[in-house]
Amino acid sequence: MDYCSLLVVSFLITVMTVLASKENDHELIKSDQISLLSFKSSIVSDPQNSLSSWISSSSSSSSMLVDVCNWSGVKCNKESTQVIELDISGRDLGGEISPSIANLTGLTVLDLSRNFFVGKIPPEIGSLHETLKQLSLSENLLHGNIPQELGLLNRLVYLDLGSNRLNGSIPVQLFCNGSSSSLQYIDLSNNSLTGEIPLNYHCHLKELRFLLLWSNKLTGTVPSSLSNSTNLKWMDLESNMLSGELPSQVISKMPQLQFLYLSYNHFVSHNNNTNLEPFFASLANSSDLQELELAGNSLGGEITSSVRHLSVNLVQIHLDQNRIHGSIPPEISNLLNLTLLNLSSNLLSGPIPRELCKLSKLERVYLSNNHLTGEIPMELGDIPRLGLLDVSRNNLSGSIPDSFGNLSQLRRLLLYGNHLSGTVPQSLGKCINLEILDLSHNNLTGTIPVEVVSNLRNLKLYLNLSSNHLSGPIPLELSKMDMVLSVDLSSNELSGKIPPQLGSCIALEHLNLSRNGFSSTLPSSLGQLPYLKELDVSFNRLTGAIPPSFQQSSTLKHLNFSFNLLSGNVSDKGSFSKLTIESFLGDSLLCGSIKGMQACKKKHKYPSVLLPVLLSLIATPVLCVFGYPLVQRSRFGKNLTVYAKEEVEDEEKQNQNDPKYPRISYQQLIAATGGFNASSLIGSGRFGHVYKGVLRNNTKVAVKVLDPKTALEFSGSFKRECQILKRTRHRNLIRIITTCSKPGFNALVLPLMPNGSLERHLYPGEYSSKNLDLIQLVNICSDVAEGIAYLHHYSPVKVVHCDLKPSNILLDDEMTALVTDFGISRLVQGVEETVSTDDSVSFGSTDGLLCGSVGYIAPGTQFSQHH
Amino acid sequence: MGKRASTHGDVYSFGVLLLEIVSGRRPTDVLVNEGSSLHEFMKSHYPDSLEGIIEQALSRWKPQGKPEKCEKLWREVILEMIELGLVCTQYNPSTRPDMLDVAHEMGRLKEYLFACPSLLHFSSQETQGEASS
Repeated sequence: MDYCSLLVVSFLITVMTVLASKENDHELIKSDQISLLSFKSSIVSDPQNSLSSWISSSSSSSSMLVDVCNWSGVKCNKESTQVIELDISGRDLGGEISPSIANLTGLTVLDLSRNFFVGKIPPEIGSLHETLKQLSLSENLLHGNIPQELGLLNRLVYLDLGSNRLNGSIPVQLFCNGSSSSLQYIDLSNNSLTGEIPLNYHCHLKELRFLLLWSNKLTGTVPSSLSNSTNLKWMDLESNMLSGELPSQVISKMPQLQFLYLSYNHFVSHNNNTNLEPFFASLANSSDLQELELAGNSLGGEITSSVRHLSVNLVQIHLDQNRIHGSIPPEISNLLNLTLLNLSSNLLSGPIPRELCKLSKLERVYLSNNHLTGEIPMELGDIPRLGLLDVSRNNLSGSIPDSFGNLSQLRRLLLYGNHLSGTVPQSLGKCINLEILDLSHNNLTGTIPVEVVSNLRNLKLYLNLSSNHLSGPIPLELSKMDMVLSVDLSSNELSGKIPPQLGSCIALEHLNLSRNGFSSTLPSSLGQLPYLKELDVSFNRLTGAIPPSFQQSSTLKHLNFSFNLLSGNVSDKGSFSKLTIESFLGDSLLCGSIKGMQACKKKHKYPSVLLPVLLSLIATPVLCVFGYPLVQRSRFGKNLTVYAKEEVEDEEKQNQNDPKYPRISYQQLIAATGGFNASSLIGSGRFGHVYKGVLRNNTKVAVKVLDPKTALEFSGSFKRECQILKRTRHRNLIRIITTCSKPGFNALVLPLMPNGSLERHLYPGEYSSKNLDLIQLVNICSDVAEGIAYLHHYSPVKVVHCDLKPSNILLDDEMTALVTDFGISRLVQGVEETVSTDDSVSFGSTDGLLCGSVGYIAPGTQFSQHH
Repeated sequence: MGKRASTHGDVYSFGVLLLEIVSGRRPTDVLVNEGSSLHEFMKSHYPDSLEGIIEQALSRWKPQGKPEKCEKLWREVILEMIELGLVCTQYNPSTRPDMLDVAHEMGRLKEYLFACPSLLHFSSQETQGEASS
C-alpha cells in the first residue's frame, strides 16, 4: 500500500482511479471464479468431461485468475476482468443449477440449454437484472414454477425456458417488468404451464418478435394488449386450451407476421362461430405470412373468397379438423407459393376446383374426410411437384384421371372411400416414386393392370385395392414389389390361383386376399415370407392342405383360413399355438388339435416333412441378408420418425429373443471378405475402406468398414441413425442391407453394384471401363437428382448428403444410378453438432469429417465452420 | 448452432457434377491448373465461347448407332446441362434452385432425348430399326 500511496502523490487523480479499479477488477474475476466453481460443485454428472478445464487455481495472482476466461464455455469482457457469458449448452450435464450462478454480476448471457439439469430454477437469477440479456434453460428437466423474480430482469432480450417440466401459472411479472420491456424472444413452450397468458392492459411487449407458448395447458383468451407487439413475427400458441374468438384484433396489428400457429385450441370464429371472414381480413396486412395453422379448433364458417385477404407468400395453410362448410373457392389458386394445403376433416362440399393446378409449387394436398362431390379434375395431373394427394373419404365420382401418370414426384395417392368407377389407369405405373397407393372402397372394375404393378416395384409402404369390383387373376408382376409392406386385395372378384411367386415380396408384413374367388391350393412360399405377421385368405375357394411353412413361421401372429375348402390335419404347434377355431371356421374338412376343432380320426404322418425343414434351413441365411427392419406403415407422415424409433427398439428386442434371425456377425463379415483381405478392397474414402464380399448364400455385397478413429465418435448414436437411414428408401439411393457394430468396429453392408461408380466411367482412361453415352449420362444425372430430391424433400427425416461426387454415384446392371454415402454425413453431423457449441475449441479433432470434398463443396462452406 | 450442412450445398455439388461431365475436367484439376473453380472456368466461356467445350463433350459422349440428325438436339441438351450446372453453382446459396426443380429439369432433358428417334421415325424409314432397338 505504501507503493500505492506514493503513486497517488506523484500522479494525476485519473491514474489513481484506473489503478483502484484494477484492484477492484482483480476482486471481481476472483469472485467470479469462486462462483463458477461453486456452480460446478452442484453438477453431479459430466460424461463429456466438458468442465474439466474448470480447475481452481490456488494462486491469487491475476495472471492465474485470467485462466477463468479460458475455461470451456466461459467468456470474459475484453479486459478479462469479469465473466460476461456462460454457454455450456448441450454438454449432457446433470445436477441442480446452483444459485451461486447469480453472483456472476457481469453476466449478459446464460445458456444452460440441452442438458439434464433438474430441480427448480433458482430465483436468485433475478438479481442479474442489471446485466442479463439472454437466459436459455430450455431442454432440461427443470420443474416447479417459473420464479417471479425472473420478472426483475428488465434488460432481458431473450428468454427460453421451453421443453422442461415447469408447471403452475406464468408469473405476471415475467411479461410485465417495468414500463417498456426489452423482451424480443419468449419461449415457454412444451411445459405444463396453466392459467392465462398474463399480459395486462398496461403491459406492452413492444419489442417482442417471437412468442412461443405451444404445448402447455394455458386457458383464457389471447390478451388484447398483445396488439402492442406490432413487430411480432412468430406466434405459436398451438396445443393449449385457449378459447374465445380468433384474435383478429390482435393479429391485424402485426404486419410482420411470418408464422401464425393457433391449432389445437378451443377458438371459435366470429358471429357465434359462423364467420371466418373477419379473421382472414385481419391478415390482409401481413404480407410476409408464410404459414397459417388453425387446425383442430372446431371453427365454423366458410372459406369462400376470404382467401383473397391472404398473402401471396403463404407457403402452408392448415385448416383441417374444423367445421368449415361450403365449397373450396377457386380463388385459392391466387396463393401461388403454396406447397401445403390441408382442408381435411371439415364439412366442405362441392367439387375440387380445377384451378388448384395453377398452384405449381404444391407438394402436399389433403382434402380427405369432407363431402366433396364431382369428378377428380384431370388438371391435378399438371402439378409438377405433387408428392401427396389425399382426397379419401369424400363423395367423388367418375374415373381416376389418366393424367396422374404425369406426377413423377407422387409418393402417396389416397383415393379410398369414394364412388370412383372405371378401371385402374395403366398410366399410374409411370408414378415410379409411389410409396402408398390406396384406391380401396370404390367401384373400380376391370383387372389389376400389369403395367401398374410391374412398374411400381418401388412401392414401399402399401398397396390397397380392397373393396372394389376388380376381377381376373393377380398379375404375376406383383411379385416384383420387394419393398412393399402391406398388400390388401380383399373384397374384390379376383380369381385363379394365388401365385406362389408372391413369396418374392420379401418385405411383406400384411397380406389380405380374403373375400375373393381364389381357388386351388395355398402356396407354401407365403408361409416363408420372413416378415409376414398377418395373413387373411378367408372366404375363398382354396383347397388342399395348409402347407407346414405357415405353422413354422416365427413371425405370423394373425392368420385366417376360414370359409375355404381346406382339408387335412392341423396341430396347435408353432405359430398356430395361439390360434383358435375362429381362424378355421367353415373349413369343415380340417381336423386337429386346435381348440374347438374336430379331432382327426386317424393319424397322418407326413412323408414330406423333410422338405419344409430343408427349405427353412436354406431360407435362414437369406433372411439374414435381407433382414433390414421396415417402416411401420403410417398414414401420417408427421409421425413417421416417431413410429420408426419405436420399431427400432422392437426390432432389437426381437432380434435378441430370436436366434433364428441373427444379424450379420463380425465373423460372417470376415468370412465374406476373406478376412478383409487387401484383394477384396475396392475403395477407400474419408470414412474408411470398402471391401467386396460374398455371403454364404452367394449374395454379393460391399462392406464399408468405418475408420475406427471416426467410429469412436459415433458412439451410441450409430445404431439408431443407421436404423433411420435404412428407412430412407428410394430407387436411386443405395439401401443399407444391414449393419454390424461392435466396440471399435462399425460396418455397413450394402448391395454390390456390378458397374461400379460413375467416377470409373467418366474417366475410362484411368480405369479402362466401357464408355457411357450422352443419353445414359442424362439418365444418370436425372436419377441422382431424383435421389437427392427425395432426401431433401420427401424422406421421413430430412437428410443432407454433404458429399455428392462421381465416386459416390454407383451404377447397377441396368445403369440406373444409385447415390451412396448419404447417411454417413448425417451420422457425422450428429457428432459435430454437440461439438460445435464448444466455441471453436474442439474443431481440430473433427476437421477431417466436415462436410464435402474439395472441388464439390460450395464456396464459403469450408470456412464458415469456424465462425 | 449446428445447421451448417444445408441442402443448398448438395445443389452446388450436383451443379459441379454436371459441369464435370460436360467439360471432362475434374473440379480438382481446375483448381490446380488454372487457379479457378470449375464454375468460374465454365462461366468464363459462357455464353459465346462454349462451342469448343460442347464439341469435345459430343465427341466423348456421342451415342452410337443413332442418326447424325440428332446432333443438333444433343448440342442443345449439353448446353442446357451447362446452364443448369451454372445455375446450381451460383455463389449465393439462396439463388440456387432447390433439388425438386433440378430433378424436374433433368427429367425434362431426359424426355427431350427420347424424342429424337421418334421424331425421325416419320422423316426417314431407315432409322426405324434404330429407334426400336
